[in-house]
Amino acid sequence: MKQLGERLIKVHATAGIVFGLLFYVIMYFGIFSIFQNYIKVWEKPSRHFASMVKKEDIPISKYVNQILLDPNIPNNNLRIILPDSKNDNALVLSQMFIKKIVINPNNGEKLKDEGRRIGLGFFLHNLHTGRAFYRNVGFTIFGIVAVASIFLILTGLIQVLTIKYSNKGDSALKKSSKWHRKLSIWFFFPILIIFISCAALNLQIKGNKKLSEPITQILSNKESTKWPEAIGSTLFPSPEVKKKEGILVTMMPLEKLYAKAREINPNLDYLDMRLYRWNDSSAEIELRGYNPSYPFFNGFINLPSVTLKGSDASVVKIKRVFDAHWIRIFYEFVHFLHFVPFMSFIFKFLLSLVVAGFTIGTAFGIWLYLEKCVKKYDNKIPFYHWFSRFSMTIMLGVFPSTAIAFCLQWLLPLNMEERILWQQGAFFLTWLSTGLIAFARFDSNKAAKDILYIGSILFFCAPLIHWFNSGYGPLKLASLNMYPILGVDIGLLFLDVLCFVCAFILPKSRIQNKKIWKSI
Amino acid sequence: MNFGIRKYLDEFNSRQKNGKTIGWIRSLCAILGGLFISYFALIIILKVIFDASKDALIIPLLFNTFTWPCVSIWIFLSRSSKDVFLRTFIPSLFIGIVLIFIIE
Repeated sequence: MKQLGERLIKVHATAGIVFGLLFYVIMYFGIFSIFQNYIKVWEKPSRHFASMVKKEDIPISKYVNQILLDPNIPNNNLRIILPDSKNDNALVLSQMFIKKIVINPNNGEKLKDEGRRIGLGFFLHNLHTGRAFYRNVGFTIFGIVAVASIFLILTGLIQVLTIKYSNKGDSALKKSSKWHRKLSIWFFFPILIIFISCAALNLQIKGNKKLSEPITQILSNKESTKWPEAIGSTLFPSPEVKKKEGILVTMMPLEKLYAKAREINPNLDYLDMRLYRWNDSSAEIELRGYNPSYPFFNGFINLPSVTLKGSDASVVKIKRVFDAHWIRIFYEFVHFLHFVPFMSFIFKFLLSLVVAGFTIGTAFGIWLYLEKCVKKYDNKIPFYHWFSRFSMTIMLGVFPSTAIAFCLQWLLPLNMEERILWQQGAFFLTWLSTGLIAFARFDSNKAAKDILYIGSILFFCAPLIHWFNSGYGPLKLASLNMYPILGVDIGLLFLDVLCFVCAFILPKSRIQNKKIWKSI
Repeated sequence: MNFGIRKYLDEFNSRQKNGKTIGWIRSLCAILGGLFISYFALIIILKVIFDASKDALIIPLLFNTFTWPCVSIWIFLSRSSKDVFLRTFIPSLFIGIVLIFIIE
């Protein structure tokens, strides 16, 4: 039994040190990824307007008919995304073959969309998924980190179950062990589900599709080699293809069809509508929504819908939550906690708290390792491994670097050449230069203080720059009910306070360090 | 010479007293063997025992990467070096033989 425990601890510590820092980075950017919808609205000047009308009262058909007059806009498969789904306050028209058309729902004015790929939200999300680091290489590394973290969670659980730990003792070693254990036990379950979905996505489903070729060949009797060929049509079914009848008919107004759909299934939060063969006698409209009373079963890929006929609003098909194929519901169930796309703010906030708690637990784990291999000079002065400075760079350096990315989003002019390069370059350079502070300062407490103070100053600047450069101050934002945008500013200020308080609490001398460890 | 082999075999068979070192062979066996076993075991269970259709592909697609660390923990925690080899190679050989039958 003793030998087993020793081996568990050794394996857990080795894997933890190799993958711990990457794990921390993924979790940290995951928090920004949860709130990416809000950041995507915050970063765009075109979305800075107050929405005066309710979702139900928007004269959609007036705006859409105006656009459909243009012969270049196809009227089959046109998707109209309603405002407030994905926290975007604009009405968006999209189709495979055209550029997105963004409309102000108040007056039908066409807005100039900045596009998805220039933004900060997309960049921070890519740092979470691993696409930012040379696509498939990043996907593979992050997928392996996910597998390793499942390994770490399971070995940690076995340790907690088999070895008896006590929470007594005031030394840094005992305290960091205690908090690493406690935080990890509290939050491991949702994180485990999230990492199962993450590992599958990065190593089989989205990235590295080639890895799933052998199993696909075996299960489909060599009919198909790639998994989308085998089960793609049941997992992501495409709409039925019907022929046009060729008779022009006047359509019912879209808002009436929307009202009819709400009458038929009032439980849904409607997100978007798809128009098929519009202005033809065979025209159909599919209104998809999200049923908030069945979380985990709908909301990510499985969306219940109502299909109506365009000419007389007669019902063609009603799809409820459990009408979908079992594969789809199963896929939904595994991935739901990882994605939370249309959930309310409170749910997202709670999830981010769980993630933050587990991240702090990881940090305590790394601290535990450092305390274990500490060398004492003169039996008093502790000397830590160089890894401590490296982990300080990674763990504390992310705060100033994300802050500078947020600052530059509104500081740089929008039509600037190579804007993304400057922003992302500044982001990575700041991260590297915090390494300079961490390695060059002799006193590690002072180094951590410096990094956190820089972070707090930059986080304080980011909302100020946004308020000045956009022309929307905090009071104006609040009075116009633009809460998604104001929320990001408040979040940045919260991070600023967090950095400042952490830097303020950190003691100046070694003796006071012990007091801090005693108090927690 | 003969004596040396016997001593080595004794060490190989007996429980290791010290758990503070992991060893390269143990980790290689655990990671790669765990990958092989977890990757093909699920598909064989589905194909041979349940005679599943191709819709069942979703299960290995989602859970292969979860069973990998499970199997590698099982191999990592074996008591002696002999156990490591038994736990890696017996399932792998079995899976390999079944795979040959399935593919043909």
